[in-house]
Amino acid sequence: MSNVTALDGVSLAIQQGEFVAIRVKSGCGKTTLLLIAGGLLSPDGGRVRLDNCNPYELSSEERAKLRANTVGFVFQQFHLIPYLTVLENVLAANLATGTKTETGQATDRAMHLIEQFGLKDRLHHTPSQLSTGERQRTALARALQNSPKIILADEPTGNLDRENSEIVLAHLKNVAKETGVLLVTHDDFALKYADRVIHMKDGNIVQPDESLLDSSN
Amino acid sequence: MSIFQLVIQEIRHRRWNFLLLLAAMTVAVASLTGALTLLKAHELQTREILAAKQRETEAAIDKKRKQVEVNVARHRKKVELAGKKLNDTMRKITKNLGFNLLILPIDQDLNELYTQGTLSKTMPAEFAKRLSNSDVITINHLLPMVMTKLHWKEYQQDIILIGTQGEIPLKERALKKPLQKQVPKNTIVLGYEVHTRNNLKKGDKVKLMGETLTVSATYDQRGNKDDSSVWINLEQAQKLLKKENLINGMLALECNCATIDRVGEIRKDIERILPGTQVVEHGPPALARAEARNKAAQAAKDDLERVVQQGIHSIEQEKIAARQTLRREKQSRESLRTQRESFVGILVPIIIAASAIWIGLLTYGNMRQRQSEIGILRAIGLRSSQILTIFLSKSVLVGILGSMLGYILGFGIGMAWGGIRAGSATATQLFETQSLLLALLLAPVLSLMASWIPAIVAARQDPATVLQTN
Repeated sequence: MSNVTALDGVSLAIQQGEFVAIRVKSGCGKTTLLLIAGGLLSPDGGRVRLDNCNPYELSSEERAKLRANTVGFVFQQFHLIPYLTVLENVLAANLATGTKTETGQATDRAMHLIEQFGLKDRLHHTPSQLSTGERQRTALARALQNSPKIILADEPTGNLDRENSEIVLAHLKNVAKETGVLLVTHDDFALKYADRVIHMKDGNIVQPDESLLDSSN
Repeated sequence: MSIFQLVIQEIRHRRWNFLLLLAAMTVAVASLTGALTLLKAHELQTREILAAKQRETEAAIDKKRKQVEVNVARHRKKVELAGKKLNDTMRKITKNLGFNLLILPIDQDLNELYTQGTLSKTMPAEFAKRLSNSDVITINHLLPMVMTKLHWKEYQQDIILIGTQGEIPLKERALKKPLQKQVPKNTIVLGYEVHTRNNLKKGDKVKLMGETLTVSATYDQRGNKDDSSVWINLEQAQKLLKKENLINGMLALECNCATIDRVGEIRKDIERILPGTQVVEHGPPALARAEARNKAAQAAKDDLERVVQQGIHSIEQEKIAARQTLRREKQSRESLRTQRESFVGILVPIIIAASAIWIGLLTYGNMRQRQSEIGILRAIGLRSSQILTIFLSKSVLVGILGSMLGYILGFGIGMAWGGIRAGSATATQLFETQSLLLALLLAPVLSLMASWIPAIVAARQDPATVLQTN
C-alpha cells in the first residue's frame, strides 16, 4: 500500500492497482506534488510514505535506491536521454538498480515493454527520430522497466494530440492493473481513465463542484 | 546498458565537445612532451657535437704532431747531412788543423823542428806497425814518414823532403777515408812554392839526389810549410837519405778524445805502446778542429733542439686552441640549453594551466547542457556517485586518448625543433618508455582535476530543481 501525503494537511493514499488522477490547475504545484511523492523533494511539513517507508528519513543514496525500485516517473517533457535509442533509454532505468543488462533478463523486460507499447519498429531510433506519442510511450516503458510499485505521471498528455493522449492514457490504465498510477493533470479528458479523481485547489483537496472544472482546458 | 556505454554514447552525440576536450589535453601533453624531447634532443646533439669537435681537434693535434715529427726528422737529416759534409770538408782541409799529433823519437829536439822544420832523430819503422796493430782508438789516421830539409841543387831551392808511404790501416778502427794517399815509387808530389817557382807540372820529370822522378801531383797554396815541401815514396826517401828501416816520426791525424785533456790521454796510450817516443801537438791548437766540430755539432744539436721545442710549443698551442674551442662550444650549448629551459619552463606550465582551465570550462558547459538528463537520471534512481562517475569516466578517457595523441605530437615537435631527423639513431635514443607511461598516467590525472568541480556540481545537482524548471 502506498501512501502520499498531499500538501497542506491533505492526506492521500494510492493502492497498488489503483489509477488516481489529481485535477489541479496548471502552475499550481502539480509537479511539486509529484516530486514530493516520489522522494525527490522534501516537504516542509507533513509525512510521506512510499512502500511503507519515509524516503526523507533515508540517506540520499538509500532514497535513490528506494526510488529506483519503487517509483516510475513520466513527465510532460518526456525527459528522454537524447543520444540513447528507445531500447537504451528503457534500459537506462537498470543503471539505477544495478541490474546487469548483459544477462538478458533486463533486456527481455525492456523488449516486452517496447513491444507492448508498439515501439518495436523504433527500437534503435533516438528520441529526435520519434513522434511525441512514441517518445511518451518510451518514457512510460522506462518508468515501468524496474517494475515499480507506483507510476507518478506529471501531465503525460500535455504535449500530445488527442489520439496519442488516448493511447498513452489507455496504456496507463492497463499498467494500473499491476501497479499504482498517480496522474496529475489539468486536462479533464484524462480524468475519465482514472478510477478516482481528486480535485485540488490552492493546495487543498476540494469537492468537484468548487469550480475546479475549467472548460478552457 | 552500463555507465561506460552511456559515456560513449554521449561522446558520440556531443562529439565536438569531446574533440575540444581532447584537443586541450593533447596540447597540454604535447607541450610537456615536446619540451622534454627538445631538451633531451639538445643533450644528445650536444654530446654528438662535442664528440665530433673532440675528434676534429684530436685529428688536428695528430696532424700537427705528424707535421712536427716530419719537420724534426727533416731537420735532423739536414743537420746530419750538414754535419757529414762539414766533417768531410773539415777532414780534407783541416788535417793540419785541429787535433793532430806528431810521434817523435824521445831524443828529438823539438827546437830543431820548430826553427828549421827538420827532424834529425830516428826511430824504427816497425813502430808504425806496432802502433797500428795496438788497441789505440783515439787515432784515426797514422802516417809514418822521414823528413829532412835540403837544398835542391837542380832547382837551387831549399825544400823539405818528406818520404811517406801514405796511411797505414789501424787494427782497432774501421777503414776510414785516407787523408793522404801513398806516393808511388819514382814519383814526386810538389808543394805550391816548388812547382810554381820552377814552372813544373804533373807529368814533368825531375831529378832529385840523382833519382829521376815523375811529378804525380802539384798542391795548391796552403799557406804553410807544405808549400815548400815535396813528397816521395818512403822507401825511396829512406834509401836516398840513408835511413833504411828508420823513420823520423809519425803523424797521427784526427785524434779525438772525449776528455778535456785530450793530448794527455793519447800521450799515455802511445807511450804505453811505444816507450821511447814523445808526443807533441802538431799544427795550430789541437783542440781547434775537435772544438770546431764539436761546436758545429753543438750548434746543430741546439738548432735541432730549437726546432723540437718549436714543434712541442706549436703542438701545445694547438692543444690549447682545441681546449678553448671545445670550451666555447660547450658554453654555447649550455647557454642554448639554459635559454630553452627558461623558455619551456615558462611556456609549458602556462599551456598546461590554460588547457586545464579550458577542460574545466568545457566540462562545465557540458554539465549545463545535460542538466535535464542529470535530473531524470537522478529521478529514475541514479546515485550522486554514479553521476560523478559518468563525468569523471569521460575525463579519464579524454586523458588517456589525449596523452597518446599529445605524446606523439609532442615527440614530433620536439624532434623537429631540436633538429633531429626521423629514423636516425638519435631519434631512437630520444624515445623513452617511462616518458610515455608518465604521460599516460599524468594526463588522466590532469583531466580529472580539471573536471572535478563541474563533475561535483553535476553530482550535487538537485533533480527536483531541474525537473521543476523544465
